[in-house]
Amino acid sequence: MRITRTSLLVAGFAAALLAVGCANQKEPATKAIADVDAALSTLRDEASQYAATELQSVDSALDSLKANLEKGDYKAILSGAPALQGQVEALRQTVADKKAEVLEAARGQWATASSDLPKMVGAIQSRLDILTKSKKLPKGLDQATLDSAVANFDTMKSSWGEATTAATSGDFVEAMSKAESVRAKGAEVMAALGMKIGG
Amino acid sequence: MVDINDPPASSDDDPYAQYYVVQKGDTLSKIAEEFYGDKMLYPKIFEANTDILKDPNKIKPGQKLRIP
Repeated sequence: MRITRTSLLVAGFAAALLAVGCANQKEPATKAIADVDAALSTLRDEASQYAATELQSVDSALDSLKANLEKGDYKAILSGAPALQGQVEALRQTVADKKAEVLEAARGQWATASSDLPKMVGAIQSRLDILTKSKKLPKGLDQATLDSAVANFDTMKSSWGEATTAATSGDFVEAMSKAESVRAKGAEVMAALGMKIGG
Repeated sequence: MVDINDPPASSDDDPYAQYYVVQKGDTLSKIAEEFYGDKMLYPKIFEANTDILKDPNKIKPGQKLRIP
């Protein structure tokens, strides 16, 4: 095949156009990925807590898009980014829905805990008040165990205060997390004092 | 009919309340010694059960006492 000067010029011009075109697409493609990354980073923590599977799927799609950046396939990025941005928004909605669901469940649990746990605190307080006045301790309870129970009870009351503060501010998930630690500590103290739940 | 010897509250209402069912030969002092180590603390039990006990010296087997 004979290569003429004209054909060389045409080929050179086409290559130049392609290079300019690619260079023009690189910046918006890079920005498109950065935008998705930024949007995802604002909900990553909550998404890993409330929608881990969906997050994994979005992360995988983002990785594929980033691979196109390395390959210089900016066109694929620009055509794929809007859909991925849509996936991120869908993930945001899923996180919000699941968070609301968990909050509602915690609100219900708190209604029970806020009525139940003060009774536990009261029962332990009453027994400790008496035992600390006792001249002798009952069989199976020594002074070290009683001292430890008193210290644990203080921790329990402190956690209960934090739980009620969280509930007052509407954070029932945190309130329930604290309430569960109060329940566990209370069960430990009751057992140490020879008290039975349902006793 | 309400029996005056009914327990003051069901353990279903308060799962953390502590109860003891009086056995033959028990006294409040003996129960106080068992739970508190000190028989002189029997008034605490009496005070918690004034709805079913009128006299700390009179308890009957089968009575369900609240142990504070």
